[in-house]
Amino acid sequence: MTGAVSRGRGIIRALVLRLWQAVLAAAGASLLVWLMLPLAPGDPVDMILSARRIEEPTAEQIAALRDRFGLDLPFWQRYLLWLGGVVQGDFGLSWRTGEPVWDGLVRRLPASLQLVGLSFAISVGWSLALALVAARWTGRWPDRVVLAYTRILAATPSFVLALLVLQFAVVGLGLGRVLSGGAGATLVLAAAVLGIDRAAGWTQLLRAGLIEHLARGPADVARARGAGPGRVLTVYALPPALLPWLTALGISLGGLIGGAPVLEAIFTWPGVGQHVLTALSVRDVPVIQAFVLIAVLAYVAASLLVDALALLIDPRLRPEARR
Amino acid sequence: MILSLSRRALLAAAAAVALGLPAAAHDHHPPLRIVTSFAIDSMNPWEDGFWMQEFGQAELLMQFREDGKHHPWLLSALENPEPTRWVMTLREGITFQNGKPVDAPAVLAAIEAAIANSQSAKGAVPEGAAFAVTGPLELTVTTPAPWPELPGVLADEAVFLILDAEAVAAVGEDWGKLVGAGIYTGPYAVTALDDARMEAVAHPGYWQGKPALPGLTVAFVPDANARILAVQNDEADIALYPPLAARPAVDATPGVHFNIGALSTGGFTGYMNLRQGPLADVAVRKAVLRAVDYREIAEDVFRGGLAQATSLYAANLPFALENYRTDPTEAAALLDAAGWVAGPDGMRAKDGAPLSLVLAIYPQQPDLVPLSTAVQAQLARVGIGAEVVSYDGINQALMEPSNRWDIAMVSTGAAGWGRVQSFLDSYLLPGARRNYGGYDNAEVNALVPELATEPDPARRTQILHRIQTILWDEDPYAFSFNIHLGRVIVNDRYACYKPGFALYHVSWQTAPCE
Repeated sequence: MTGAVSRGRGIIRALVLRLWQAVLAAAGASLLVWLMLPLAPGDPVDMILSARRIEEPTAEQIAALRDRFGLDLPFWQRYLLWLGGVVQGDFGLSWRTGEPVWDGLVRRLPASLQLVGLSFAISVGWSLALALVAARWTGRWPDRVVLAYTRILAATPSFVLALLVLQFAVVGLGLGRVLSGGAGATLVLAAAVLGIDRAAGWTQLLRAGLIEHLARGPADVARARGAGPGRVLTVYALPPALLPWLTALGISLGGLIGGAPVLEAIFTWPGVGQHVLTALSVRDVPVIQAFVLIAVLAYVAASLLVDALALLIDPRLRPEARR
Repeated sequence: MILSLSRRALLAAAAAVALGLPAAAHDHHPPLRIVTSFAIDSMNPWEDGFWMQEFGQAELLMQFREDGKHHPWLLSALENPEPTRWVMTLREGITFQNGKPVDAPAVLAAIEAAIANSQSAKGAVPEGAAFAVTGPLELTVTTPAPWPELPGVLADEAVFLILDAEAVAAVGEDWGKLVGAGIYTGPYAVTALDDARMEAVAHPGYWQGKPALPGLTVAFVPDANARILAVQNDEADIALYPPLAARPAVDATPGVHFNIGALSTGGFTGYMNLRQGPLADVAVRKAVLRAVDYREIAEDVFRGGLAQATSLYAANLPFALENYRTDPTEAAALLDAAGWVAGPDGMRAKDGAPLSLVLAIYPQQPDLVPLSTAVQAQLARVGIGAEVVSYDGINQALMEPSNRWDIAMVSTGAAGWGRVQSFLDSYLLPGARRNYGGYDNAEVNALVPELATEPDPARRTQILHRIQTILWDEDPYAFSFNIHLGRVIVNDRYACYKPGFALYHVSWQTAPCE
């Protein structure tokens, strides 16, 4: 009983520590973005006015916009004002649209979560299947096919893959539509592209881990005891090979979230993607900041989940095992 | 105004005009489907209203047309009886889409609301200008000094859209409530607007006649390839803003067409850096202008996707000169006379300093890559070396003294909606925010402010001719590499559609081809 309480406290302590780290990471990332965006070329006022068809603004028009968004305040003052607002749940107004930033993101977030969630699931399933096939027939043609496939995919940008899918699957074969309108078929296509693209690197990692563990003692012993190749692979090689793979999944989730906007724009998926890309093009800092914050929190949450899964899979990582 | 007219619609419209009847509409046409790269963020008329003019929802008092002139649109006449007084007379029988009459008080309310709420309108109206109702359909504008640009201001989509100001004021800033409120006068009224698309239906009481289509949809698709594929997959009829680079692929694809439209009012403009480098020598500047092959750029490099520059201004503008000429022999002679001597490799130098220029471009305009490469080759023909440097955020980069550049290549509208003043004020006058190269010509400095208040059309043309002459023959600085042309990708149904002049994409007569 005492051991269970102590173990629970240990896990809670670890969770609190990770949450604190998450807050620090989010604050650090936001500060970094605030520091970097002024270095980006182009005056946001010019860009915003140009987007409103005001190509040659007067000095008064420029001054009015600067004043409205506090752009004449020193950098640190603007950052602190923004941070103070965020703590109170106020992400400010979009410089481009004047709409509350949070409203614009929340309205589009469910569609993005659908896309990222499904692509993550596809990615995990696909890389797991390919890695098992490659490891089961190491050095033979299935392995060579998987290796060639993953190398090609790893070198192909996701937007190229997306355009090929639209050209051949949608226009050529009539599967789904180019203009999604939020349709399920588009979600599956976009998620498949994003997931399959991301799966290439994960497959290579898991395949290498499986091959390594297939050559180790426990697998040899299992074979000596008469276990079949499938059982050796899934019971003796897979669990230990999953640990680095899971860590990579957690780290790569950030890439998945970061890559989604481009694919959303190509597939016209009504997520935050188009909104964020437009914000980037006109240096709409409040929107970019809020997106970065969400991405960082999602990344930290995914890392936390991966840590928890690792604890479940490998007892050696549990607090009591370290004593 | 460019209209996409079917033959039958054209005949019907002609008959209607002759008989004084409304043009017949084609009820059997499906709604038009447009894909465009820019999203319409809201129904806020002061910041996003200009889109409504482009897609047939809103209208203006004047219209800028292909002949380069301003014509009355919702007005029946715009007169300038005295230099400081304009009289605007509205057409009879116009109503907003919600049925309210468009009379002088309603238009005055729209103008006053715009001045109070729209940054564009505030910036466009000179200090002391007063608008007043002087009749049921008449407004008078008085100004302390002549305001010759008023026709252009009234034709500028970012300034005075004619809308039901009372209905707009009633919603506060809850702009979504303006969907379906029929606040504009155009042939199609907005019925839905979200992050992905805008929908509009025909306004049956439209003053010019029954709109040719039951409605239209404008989908917001930022990716250019996705827009092209949408037309190819018959999910859209017209894709706006296609990249020129897509033309060969589109031309080779059945069922889609890359259509080129009328001259626009701007193009890729070159600005010379007079603060440093070889262009401080006026002979080199003149030689550069004569070394550029304007025909080759338009016809060979861009295969007709851009128009040949014949002056600073587009050829359809009434004040445009035709003073550009390509003459490498004259360019070489100018350089020889100025002491820039060609070496054994053909490249010139003076006192040991090579004649080499930096061409500044920016990544947001991919067409500048082939353009700058072509100009590089053309300059080399007369012995001028050139390298290309890309600056992100070109406007700021060019004003930064530490950045090396000699010729900046920037997409500029020198006469947007036929208005010339803001370009001249911002780009040519000393200390102006876009005077990248430090241009300071005493005569131009005097002519530009004179133009701002010169009401006489003949004198205005004379001033603009003189400025163009100075910029080519005497003290070169800003020059056009080309003039842009409107371009769209369309499907077979709209194969006859030509891109709208001055961004008028949809008119009441826009319809599929017969």
